Amino acid sequence: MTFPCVAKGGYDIAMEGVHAAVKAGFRVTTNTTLFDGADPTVCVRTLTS
Amino acid sequence: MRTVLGETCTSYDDSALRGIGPSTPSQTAWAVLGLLAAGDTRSDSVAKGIRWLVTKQMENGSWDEAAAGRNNERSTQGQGFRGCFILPITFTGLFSAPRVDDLQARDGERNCSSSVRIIRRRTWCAQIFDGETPDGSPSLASLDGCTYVLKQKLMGRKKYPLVLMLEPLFRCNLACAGCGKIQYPAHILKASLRPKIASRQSRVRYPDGCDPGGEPLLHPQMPEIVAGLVARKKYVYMCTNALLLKESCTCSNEQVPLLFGSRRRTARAS
Repeated sequence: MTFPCVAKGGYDIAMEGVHAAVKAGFRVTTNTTLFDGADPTVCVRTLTS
Repeated sequence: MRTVLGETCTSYDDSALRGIGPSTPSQTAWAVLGLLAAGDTRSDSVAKGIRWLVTKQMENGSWDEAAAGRNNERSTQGQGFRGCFILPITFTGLFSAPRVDDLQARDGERNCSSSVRIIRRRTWCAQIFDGETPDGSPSLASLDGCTYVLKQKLMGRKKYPLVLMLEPLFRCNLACAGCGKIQYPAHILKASLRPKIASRQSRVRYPDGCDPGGEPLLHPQMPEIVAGLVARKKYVYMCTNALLLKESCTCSNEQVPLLFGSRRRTARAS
């Protein structure tokens, strides 16, 4: 069973939206859960790029 | 059924992983709530679940999610939607108060409306108070929030509202496993909060408004609701899955004017 929220492409669409909102001057924050073993550098790159 | 429940992050995908691992208060509580909702009020499972929760409650009234299980085992468990929260960004928050320079640029150069001036003054105060956030946008809500709390303390109020959480709709453009909102019957999923009601709610004194619930960008009158709250000087924090965010931000069409539209309407309102 595949759920739409894990469907391919959803992440990219969401990130485009986040970038558009930041560009438009809105304050954007994320609700992110990081688990043991997550690579901090990847997280930083994801959230700041 | 196991009264004491544990799960792993992938238990939705692999049924063999369900109901294993150390028990956690949240999952035990969910199981008890599920049984109660199904009409099971007298079974041993419900009684054991409640007893377990009562014995695990800490002095401060809360529970320790990270506590070791009954055999002293520990595991990393995701509290939330199994499998879905591994998306690094599931929800994003938006403050509806934009930067002043953006407002001035977009709302006509000559006359700033009074609401824009209010935001400008607040921005100025906020800059003095705590400088700017790393991305350059002044933290508008922080000063107002501090002032509000301080005022309540000075007045000796022990209980006061901090945030109004509106759930303008339960409808969503995702179907995440484990989400309770989208399980509601169709007539509830079709319903949307009317702006008038939102406006009435916003008369209550509180500094922040928040839109959780379903996906707020699906609400046809969301621009109106946000504009109404902004006009009442509330900070609006919107939880969205961001799938419709790009078109809401970039479309200048009045039909999908959530972000820009709310600014324009705010500016025009006064």
